[in-house]
Amino acid sequence: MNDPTAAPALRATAVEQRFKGTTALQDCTFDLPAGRIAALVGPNGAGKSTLLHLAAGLLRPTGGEVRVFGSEPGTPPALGRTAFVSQDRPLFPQFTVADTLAAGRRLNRTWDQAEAERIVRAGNIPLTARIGTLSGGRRTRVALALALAKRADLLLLDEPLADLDPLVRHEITGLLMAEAAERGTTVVISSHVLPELEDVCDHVLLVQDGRIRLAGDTDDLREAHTRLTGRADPSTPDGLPTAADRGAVVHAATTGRQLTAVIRNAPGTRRPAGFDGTADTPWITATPSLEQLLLAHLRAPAAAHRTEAAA
Amino acid sequence: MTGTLWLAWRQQRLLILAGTVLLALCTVWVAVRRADLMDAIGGYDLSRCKGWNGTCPPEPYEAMFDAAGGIRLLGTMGLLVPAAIGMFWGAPLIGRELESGTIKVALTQGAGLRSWFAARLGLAAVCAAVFSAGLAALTAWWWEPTANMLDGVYWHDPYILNTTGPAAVAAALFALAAGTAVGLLTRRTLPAMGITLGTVLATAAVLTFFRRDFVTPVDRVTAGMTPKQLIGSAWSAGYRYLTPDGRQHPLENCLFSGEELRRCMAEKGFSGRVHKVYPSSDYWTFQQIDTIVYLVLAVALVALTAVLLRRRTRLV
Amino acid sequence: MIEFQVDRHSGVATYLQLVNQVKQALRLGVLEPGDRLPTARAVVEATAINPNTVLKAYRELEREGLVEPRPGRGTFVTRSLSRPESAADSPLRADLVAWMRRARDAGLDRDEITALVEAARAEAESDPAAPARKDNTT
Repeated sequence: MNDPTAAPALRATAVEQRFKGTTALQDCTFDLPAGRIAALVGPNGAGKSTLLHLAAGLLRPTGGEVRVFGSEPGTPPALGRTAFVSQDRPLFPQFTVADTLAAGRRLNRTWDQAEAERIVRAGNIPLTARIGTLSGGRRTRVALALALAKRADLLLLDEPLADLDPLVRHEITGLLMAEAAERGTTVVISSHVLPELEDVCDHVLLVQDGRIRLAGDTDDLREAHTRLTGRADPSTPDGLPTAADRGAVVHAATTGRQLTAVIRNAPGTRRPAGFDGTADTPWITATPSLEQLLLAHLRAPAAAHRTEAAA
Repeated sequence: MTGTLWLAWRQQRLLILAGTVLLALCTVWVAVRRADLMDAIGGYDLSRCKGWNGTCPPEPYEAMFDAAGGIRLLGTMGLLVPAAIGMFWGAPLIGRELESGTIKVALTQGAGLRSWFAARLGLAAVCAAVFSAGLAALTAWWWEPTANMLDGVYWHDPYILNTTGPAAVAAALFALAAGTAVGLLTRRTLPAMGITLGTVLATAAVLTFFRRDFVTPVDRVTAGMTPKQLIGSAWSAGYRYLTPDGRQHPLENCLFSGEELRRCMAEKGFSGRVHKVYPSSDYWTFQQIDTIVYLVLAVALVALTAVLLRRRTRLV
Repeated sequence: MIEFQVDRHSGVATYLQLVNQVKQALRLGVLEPGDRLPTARAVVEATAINPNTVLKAYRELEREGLVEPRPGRGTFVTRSLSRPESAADSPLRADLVAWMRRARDAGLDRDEITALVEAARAEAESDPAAPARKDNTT
């Protein structure tokens, strides 16, 4: 985890994924260092699931390459270190819960049966219950038990909290965080609801229209931007000061005389260039919250798309 | 491998149980019916019953007639067994996993794709081979005491030729491979079952209609109007006329009998008649053709499935 | 032992919430020197927050000299913030309670009482005779 020469938990290099003429992902390049808890966020259909399927080895990219701890996904070294819970939580419907856990035990080299049973029991699910008779939330719990008991180094979870009630959501998130705290597990959690991950993640991967829009440490990304509020400049059509570097503006909006903008800081500084302000037009500046930052990027016009990365 | 084998067993055990029960029921039924047959024909010399034109003692005739009905029924089952294996075992083997998404669970555990596919297909193939071989053996066992007799069941009837011997096993393996590949391509079980049924029946029909083209029949030549030899247990492949230069001419040249035929043959200069037949020893030739065709197709389909799976082209 | 509560909507950074809760527990005597803080695993399992947030909070407490990590055993409290002057039976506290009652009897509401306390504190702190508070000795 602290070895800078170690292979990242997940690395994508110029990944492209096409399905019958449509492009699900393109030009995807990022590193996810080991030990991170990454939020994979973006609108529905942005390519989050495709990215997770690539990392799980269930898809081969039509271009570029994906590596999991330096190995190709789907090969034995990668499979042994990866666990995946897909969005539809597929489990063998004819199996009992005990059968499902037995399958995990027999198919994996590492397996923590006690942990698996603890997670299942915490949800009051009898081991003799058939998977086909379980509710959605309970199936999610069994699927997570299967993934967590594998003791993988990289957990890939596609919308894991979507069909859980708030109490269970809290419990399961706690469980995931405990696993990460104890074993340094790298976790990728996809969601289209960012706030549920804001306290959880320390890394973010923002996907939009099949491209990675932001990738990096959440604090670094936030501190590389400034959120400005002030009086719009009446002499420019966009309300920004004439001197402002418009290429650095992620998103700006004017309401009446007020201008709000999220802007990339000038390199090596904590302020954006051209927003020095004067005595009669001061700017209120703040570091954007993660949610403000992501919303600004999602609202940015498509032409400005460009991957940003912060280590 | 043991893990994937356990998973394959756990998922296929109902099919294996059903196959075992069916085979056991068939065994009991055949054993009883065959014992009845043996009682009825015991002590009779059946050597004169061989062939269409045999002269047989009248007493065992009824028992043989009875048995022939049963053997045809068993043969019909034998004809349907490859289709059933393809539909109910092959098509869901990967198709259902794709349809339900459970392939994502199976393939993201530590065991890996190769082991998963090998265990799954291997177990299914062994079971398909055992069940089809069992049924083929039962059919042959029941048929053998009255084989090729009177108007009973002959070696070249599809009831026997397609359902006994190595060809029956090869057909089952082909059907399994076809179902598996179709399931992967359609990604849905029900359409895969339909397409598999069509494919298996069509392949059997094509083989039945065209395999004779690859085997040269034996010519039985009779000079002039000499009565032709009795067909016996051979399989007729038609008649020809012969000219002294050794060339053969189609039957349509003289579609007559008796005195008219003599005149027609004299007019056209035909010196004899040719009866083209496949002797019963050709059973093994036809078996060989079927077995090779089925196995080559099966191997090709398994290879196709393996390549598609390896490329992960249609898993998600 | 201390149980952390995280309020996602407080606007206070999560790690600071943890730091403040430990300090409060030290002031109230809930935590005493020698006590062990819960492990990061236990905290995140209960609060569902990122483990690094807990580590960051513990580092901050260590920087302030309130706790100390002992490798392999956990993080231990080294210093107390509780003062005998603020205990439940202290005369200062009794005076304040009595004053609060008088203020209420005089018809002041909650906000007015708070404003009065703040104003009195500002007045006392601007008095050059008052000794400087020593809170963050490191």
